[in-house]
Amino acid sequence: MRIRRFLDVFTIVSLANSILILSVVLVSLVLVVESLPIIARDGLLPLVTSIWNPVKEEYGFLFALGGSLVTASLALVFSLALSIGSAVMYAEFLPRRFRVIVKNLMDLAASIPSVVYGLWGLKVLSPVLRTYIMEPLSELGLSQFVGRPTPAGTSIFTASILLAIMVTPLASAIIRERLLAIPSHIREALYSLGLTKVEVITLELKYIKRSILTATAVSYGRAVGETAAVAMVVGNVINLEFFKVFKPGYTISSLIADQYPNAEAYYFMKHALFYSALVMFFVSLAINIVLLKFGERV
Amino acid sequence: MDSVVQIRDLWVSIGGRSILRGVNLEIPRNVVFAIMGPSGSGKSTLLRSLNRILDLYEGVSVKGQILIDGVDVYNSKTDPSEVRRLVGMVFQIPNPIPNMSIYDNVALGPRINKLVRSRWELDNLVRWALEKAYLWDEVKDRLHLPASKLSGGQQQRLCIARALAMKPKVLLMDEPTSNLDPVASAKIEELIVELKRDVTVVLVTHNSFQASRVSDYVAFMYDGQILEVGPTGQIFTRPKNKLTEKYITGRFG
Repeated sequence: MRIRRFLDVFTIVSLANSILILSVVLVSLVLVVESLPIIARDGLLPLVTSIWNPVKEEYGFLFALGGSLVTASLALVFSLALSIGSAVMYAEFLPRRFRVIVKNLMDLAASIPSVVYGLWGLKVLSPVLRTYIMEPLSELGLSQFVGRPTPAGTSIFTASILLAIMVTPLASAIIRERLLAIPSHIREALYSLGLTKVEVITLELKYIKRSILTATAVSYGRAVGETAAVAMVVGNVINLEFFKVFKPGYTISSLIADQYPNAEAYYFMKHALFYSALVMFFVSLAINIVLLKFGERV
Repeated sequence: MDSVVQIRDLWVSIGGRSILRGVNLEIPRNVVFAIMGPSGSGKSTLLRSLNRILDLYEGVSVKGQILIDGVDVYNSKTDPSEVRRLVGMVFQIPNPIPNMSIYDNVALGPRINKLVRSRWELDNLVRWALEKAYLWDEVKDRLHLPASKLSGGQQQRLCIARALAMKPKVLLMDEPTSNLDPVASAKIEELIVELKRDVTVVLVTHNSFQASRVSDYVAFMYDGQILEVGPTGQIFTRPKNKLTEKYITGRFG
């Protein structure tokens, strides 16, 4: 009886695992197969050119690839600052009686659908960032480095701020739980040596750096893949200077979301979009592997 | 009498519950001073009030005065970090920072508090502290291994070295041997007796035999108050209080 039950559980678990692995294989396979026609025609050219001219069947998505990387990287910097800050605030400063409500609010923030974030980003965040941050900064003479914002305020910068806000609750939860898991006798040892609160927190963050790296990897994956919200605030403009972050641009995800409805009208466009997805898939994979390898060393 | 610690009418409550109720105590310099008493008597809280580690807990209120080497511990102008540099602490659970090397554990306090000016000075200080803690010979060839590689007794001696490296005036020890085997405990007891040449040791213990072996003075606590205090020999041979007598003869409760 007992062995039978064990077998049942084993079957279910391995079935679940197989489905998971199979779906990863299938996804990669579809990406590769659908990209083949354009790879056969253009090779690596689409990765290094920024032309999007379906009428002439010319596709180069460097602008979107760059947009994706810049958006996700900026988002990562902002979200690390936000999530470490909020986790430290929660674990070290917040009185115990406020913990439950703050934790619930953070979890709620993590569960808001991304399209809702997108609407808020378009309606509130974009104009606010334009008026109070982007316009003053570009007036100050930074415009040659970061470009000038559009009246709507949609831009690569706006998208990265929105992404940072979206990925922070999860990243913060990872760091927070790890901070709370530091045994109190270790914390007491640090304080008993005459260390100030700032010094203790700095050491604690060093102590949990591996979890911070995990939070970074998770956030990066989510930031690079996020579609709906980004497509609403990034501007969806072909921007060859994707590093000028106050200008609107594209990310791979927003390019696919924005362009796929027209793809059937052209022969190579669908394949080009699949190709861009394939490239993004590999770039994300590479970044995750690097982060995880780095995580093993620290 | 030259007292390094003076406690005057100390009242401590945690979360509204009164833990210490009017403690008065003078601790002479360079002695081992044991605080005995049953669990819940407030001895650990008394110890933790001396270096303001109590500040880390929520809902603690402290009334009264503590003077340590002339520093008014609970004066609003006194920085708790300053108090803790003066008063080292060794805990019940050996608590070296596990991912830090043996060397770095000892060097941590002097480094962050900028007590040394050169690498050479730091090396000497670390060696001095480890020798004082009877640990140098066992670890001198592996100073850069993580502290978690040491045995429990070694870890506790490492914690003693870590506290000593700050050159404190007072060393608080909160039942330092309660998580160690008899051999490791004996070594720590031997060490405690030696330490009083450099610091004043305040030792909390629920083991009255330990108190009789290592201490020069004993205070007996019960229900948040000190019932009896005096030289160890006198307390153990001619206790004045009935409860003290019951406790040291093991007929308590």
